Amino acid sequence: MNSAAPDRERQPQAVGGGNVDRPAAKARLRAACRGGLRLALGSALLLGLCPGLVAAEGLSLSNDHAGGNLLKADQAFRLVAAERQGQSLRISWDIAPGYYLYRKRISVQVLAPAGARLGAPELPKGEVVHDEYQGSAEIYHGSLQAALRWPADSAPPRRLRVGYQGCAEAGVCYPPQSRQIDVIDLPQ
Amino acid sequence: MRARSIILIAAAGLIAGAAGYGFYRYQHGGAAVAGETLPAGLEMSGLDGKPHRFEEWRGKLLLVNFWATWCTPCLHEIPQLVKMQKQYAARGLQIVGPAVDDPDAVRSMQGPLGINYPVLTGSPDSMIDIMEKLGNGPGGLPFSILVSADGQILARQSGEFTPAELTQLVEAHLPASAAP
Repeated sequence: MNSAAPDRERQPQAVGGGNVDRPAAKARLRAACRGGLRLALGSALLLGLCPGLVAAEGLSLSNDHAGGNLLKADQAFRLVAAERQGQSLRISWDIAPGYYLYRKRISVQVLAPAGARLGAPELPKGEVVHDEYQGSAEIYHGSLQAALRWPADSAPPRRLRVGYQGCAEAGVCYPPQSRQIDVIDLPQ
Repeated sequence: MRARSIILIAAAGLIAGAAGYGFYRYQHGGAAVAGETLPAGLEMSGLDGKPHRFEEWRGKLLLVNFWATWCTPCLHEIPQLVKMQKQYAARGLQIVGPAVDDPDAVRSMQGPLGINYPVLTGSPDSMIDIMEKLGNGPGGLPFSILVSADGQILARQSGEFTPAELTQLVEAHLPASAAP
């Protein structure tokens, strides 16, 4: 296409010039024709490709409900870290746009040290959604942080098992996820 | 020279169009996959614990619909699958519903949902592995595949079918001779 444009720009000079030598004019005309052919070929290619590409793009949008562009669970619901600072522990997730986690399906268990105890996760208020099968539920978009505390007579948690489950807004849900994560100690 | 150029341009346009359409079909979740055979030996359990393989339903148009009780879109889709099974069974449609779920949870929903086709279960890891083998990399539900009587994968779908999509797909692959 780039090579076609200069030829096309020169065309009026070649055809409209009154006092030009004929061989040079013919050469310019031939060049203009070649440019025109290249342009037409390029256009034909674009015309051929466009309907398919546009249709594919259209479907890939609805394909989020048809499956084409869905993220894997670990990309959709990224468990970022479990960080301890003093007597508080914070677990954080990054939830990709177009995806959400269910509050009621978030769980945390202590794996180490043995015998350590942990309270239930404290979660922010989520967006309430209603469904004929599942009733009311709270969901989270974007970033999410859960705060956890443990009894004074228990050792601080070092390793956790974190459970969560979520869906894509496009109408696909992911199986419950379970991940083991080490607790990072932050300076106080 | 001019005629040759016109033919060349027309051919290029056709090739490009075909490539574009091919890309469109590739992107579509329900795209037919020419020559792709349902992998053999994928084993799951019935709710009674007995082992089952998809080969049991060879000879029928098989719609495999993976679902779970925790999957709201799956629960929305099941009533139309129940209706389809009732309507098209005589013409050779067989729906099978592998559940990526705990068998007790599945049993508790089977009655209320009125599921009139076989439900299969397996460990979460094995079910995810089976779905991956069937082309569901992300592992989301609902996920369906349509398999011909001779074991060819005809279509895949992630997410719910609309009633119109499902009817059109099933009608397109069932013999037209017998009335539903």
